[in-house]
Amino acid sequence: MSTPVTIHTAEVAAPGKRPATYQPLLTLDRVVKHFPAGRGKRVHSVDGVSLEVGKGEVLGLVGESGCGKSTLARTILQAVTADSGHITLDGQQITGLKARDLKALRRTMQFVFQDPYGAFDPKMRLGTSLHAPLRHHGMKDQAERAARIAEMLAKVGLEEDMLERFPRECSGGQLQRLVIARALLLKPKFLICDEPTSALDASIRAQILNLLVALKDQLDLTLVLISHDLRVVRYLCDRVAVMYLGQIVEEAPREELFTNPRHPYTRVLLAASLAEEQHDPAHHTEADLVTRLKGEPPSPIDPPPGCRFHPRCPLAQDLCHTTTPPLAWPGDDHSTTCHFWDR
Amino acid sequence: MPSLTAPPPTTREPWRRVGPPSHRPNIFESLVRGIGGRHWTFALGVAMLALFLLVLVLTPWIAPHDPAIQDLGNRLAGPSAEHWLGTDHMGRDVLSRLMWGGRFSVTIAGITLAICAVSGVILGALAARRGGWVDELVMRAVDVLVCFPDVVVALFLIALFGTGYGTLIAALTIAGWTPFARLMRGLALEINAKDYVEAAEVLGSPKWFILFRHVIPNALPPVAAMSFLRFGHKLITVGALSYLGLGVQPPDSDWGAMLLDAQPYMERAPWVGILPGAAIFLAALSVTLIGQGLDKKKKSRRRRSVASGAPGAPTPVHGSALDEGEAL
Amino acid sequence: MSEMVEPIVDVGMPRHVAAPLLEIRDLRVEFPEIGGGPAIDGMDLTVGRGEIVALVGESGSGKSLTALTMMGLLPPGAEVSGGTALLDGEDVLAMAPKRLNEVRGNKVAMLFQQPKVMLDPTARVGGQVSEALRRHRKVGRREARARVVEMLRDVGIPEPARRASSFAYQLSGGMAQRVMIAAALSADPELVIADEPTTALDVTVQAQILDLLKTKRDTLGLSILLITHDLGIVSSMADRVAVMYAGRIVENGTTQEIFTNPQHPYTEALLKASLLEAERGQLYSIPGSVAQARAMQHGCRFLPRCPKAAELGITAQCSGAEPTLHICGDHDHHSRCHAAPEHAEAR
Repeated sequence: MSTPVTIHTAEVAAPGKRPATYQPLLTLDRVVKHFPAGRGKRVHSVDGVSLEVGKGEVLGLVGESGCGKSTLARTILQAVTADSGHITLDGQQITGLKARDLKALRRTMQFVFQDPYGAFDPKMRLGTSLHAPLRHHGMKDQAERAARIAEMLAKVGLEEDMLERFPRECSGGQLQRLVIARALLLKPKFLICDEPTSALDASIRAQILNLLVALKDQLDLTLVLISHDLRVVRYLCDRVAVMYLGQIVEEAPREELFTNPRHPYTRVLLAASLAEEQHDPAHHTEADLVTRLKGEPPSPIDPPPGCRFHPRCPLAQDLCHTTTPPLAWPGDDHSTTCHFWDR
Repeated sequence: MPSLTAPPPTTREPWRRVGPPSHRPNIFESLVRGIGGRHWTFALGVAMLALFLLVLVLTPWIAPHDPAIQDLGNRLAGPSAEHWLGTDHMGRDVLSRLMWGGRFSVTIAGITLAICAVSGVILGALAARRGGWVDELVMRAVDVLVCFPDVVVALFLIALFGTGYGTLIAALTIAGWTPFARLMRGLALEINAKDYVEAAEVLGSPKWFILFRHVIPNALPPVAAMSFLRFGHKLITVGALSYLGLGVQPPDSDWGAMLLDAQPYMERAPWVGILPGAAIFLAALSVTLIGQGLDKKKKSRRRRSVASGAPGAPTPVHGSALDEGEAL
Repeated sequence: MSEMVEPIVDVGMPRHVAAPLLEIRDLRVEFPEIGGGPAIDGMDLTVGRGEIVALVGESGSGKSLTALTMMGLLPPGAEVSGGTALLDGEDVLAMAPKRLNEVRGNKVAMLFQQPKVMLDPTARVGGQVSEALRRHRKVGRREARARVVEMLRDVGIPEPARRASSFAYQLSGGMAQRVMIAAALSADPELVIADEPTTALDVTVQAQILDLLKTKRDTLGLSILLITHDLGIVSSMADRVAVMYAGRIVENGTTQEIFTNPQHPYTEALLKASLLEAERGQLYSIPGSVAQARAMQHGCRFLPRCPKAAELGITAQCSGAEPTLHICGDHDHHSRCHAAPEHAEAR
């Protein structure tokens, strides 16, 4: 099996195309994470991803389930160890850190879970769950901890009597607010949100998204928002990266991506996400793309040769079956991996 | 037909009551509630065990006679107003001896059980959390020890070190922890994949905290069920060893030893032998009923949680390799 | 907003002249032990033959409970305390367990939010699909197998013969939902109740599954009760929409009416929230929660969260008497709001 690492990335380290003021907080350089899948096979969850997230930026990471976006998030958080590649946070390399430095790192980046119902220990009062991380990071004074917790609860709009409850006594919206509060307790600079609203009702979704926006401005956070819902991404994100089968296939600032998508997969995703609100016939051609999208994502165990999207691509040509597309730059700050991006 | 089975228990059930409960149930209320949802045999087991424990705790005050006082003029007497359950071959009061003997049986079984459960749970949880050589070592040890029945291990140890409570407890503990370790390892692997464990890791909580505050507490209900089941088993083993003369030694006596003493007189005075046998049987039955009652409710819950996972699929660290790529 | 797609199905007669397939009248379901008022409180709903009706509402509105009640699968502690639910003229609520078992699968089938949980991961797909066939249609083993492969192909599963002998855990979420659809359709039910069938799936797959359901309706003349919290997926799918709040229907009407001319402030709010509409730099969200509404004794249950009552200055009226579900326009449009006009002028 060829190592895809070498294929994709030679030119990626050319950030000179970004505006000069662009200061990356997080840099990923050809990060690879595979999992053993038995019988010598490997799950290519993350396969040579290079990315940059600027200070104060909200990066949307978009893709279907199985594309590796959650694994990528866990790799960034050092919850799983990357097989190869480097991750740099604020100038400091964070891959291969020792346990002690890792603990310090935990304070600077945090995670918001997809399923708020599972994010808290069902046998523990929420107060205990919130006190624990502070205690473990050396805040021994009970009153000081309580003050910090109260501060964060106020920020996410919850009452302090929540602390006495067990998770089963809270609604999904309340729990997701608590998940956010817990993530902010250690005052991180950087937050990864993995589908923060997909387990919630439509009516609560907006509340949580508004909260994230407000907190980001208030606390000067940098966010990575993982989502399969482009409507959410469009509202919240400054830049968007589209992931397919372990690789980034397109990356651009929000406006550019939504108005000028170049990769067929991005176009399909856009059409699928936005179809519902567009009743005018002008969008029918894009909607057709969705119905012409064949099948479901192939298995990340045996990614197809050539362009990984070709088995499902409505526009695929012979070239796509055999040759991995190189990274192309449709715009200064817009990259994609499609042979035919300019058609 | 799959679409007709009862719906999965999502926490999003609309009838789920959200908000703080009006008051927190005290121990008595939770006991009543716990019995309420189960089979009637569970309640029977609880009642029997409660009665046993009450009698055994109060024995020093309520036992009608001193169990050691002999009355050779009144040997193997039948039940009477003076001796409710008659007397044994030395004229001792059978009821009093049952009560005092029960204290030995239950205490020894209890102590061994506690040691087994605690060590088994910790070793099993460690094996699951650490993986690698720790897992390998613990599980191979389990495989080997499972091959030796308690009684064989006990015979071997007693042959080496002679009889005594220490030897007895050690003999029952050496292989006794293995079922707990095996159960706990399985449960811990399941809990390992839960979001709240990952949250604790990402928040920088130390390993001991995750182990003792997250993993073990969430595995306790099935462990409790198994403890009761094993308790019955221990009671019988202790009785068996005493019956073989290898357990509790005179002048102390337990139910097994009483059975041994009674054997020559089974035809003349069968109650002297039947009563301690019945005591062992009923005590073991009571805890087994409790264990099964706990287990049944547990099992139905576990089956559902298994159904939501993907057994047979590779189980990567933190369950994350395939958590999003369910397609194989 | 321009033209919406008209409902495609043609049932031959005006919808309410023919006897509807499912007719729920004044349904009440309570949890006596938990208390806090009925979870479903005087609910009316009809699903015509060949019609797709969307039942929309937040968690806690009682929509899933309605579905389970129709299947005779009341959760523990729930009791039906009133009402009727006529399925093809026969009251589901009064059925004996044996009859209920016949009806399930035969006349009504259900799709769930998490298909993977509903399939037995350790059994082969084919067997699970053919179970209903063999039970309700008394089909032999070999014939059942052939039919299953056919049915799997029918719901768009590639290589159906191979898939039939694979295990459920090997399926992706989208495939599993297709299998569930095949299983649900295997005994030719007349009504399919789909409880959030696509919520757990990816957007691309969501569209495919909804498409599939709609095609099945068109070819088989099924009726579908689609339950969802997301009004967004409803517009391209349903013929009619019923909006549920705190155990009651607060508005119903044709999809076009609901989307273009909503007459209940809750529907309006839900619509804005579902489509992620921004308002003054913020996404629109409905203030408050549905939690306490059930216990309300007087007045409109949406009043505590209603922006309109204060705007129109009718708070007193709203807190005094609960509005009835009255006709407020053409196309059978009903709303349970004091502010909705009793008779809108015909357009």
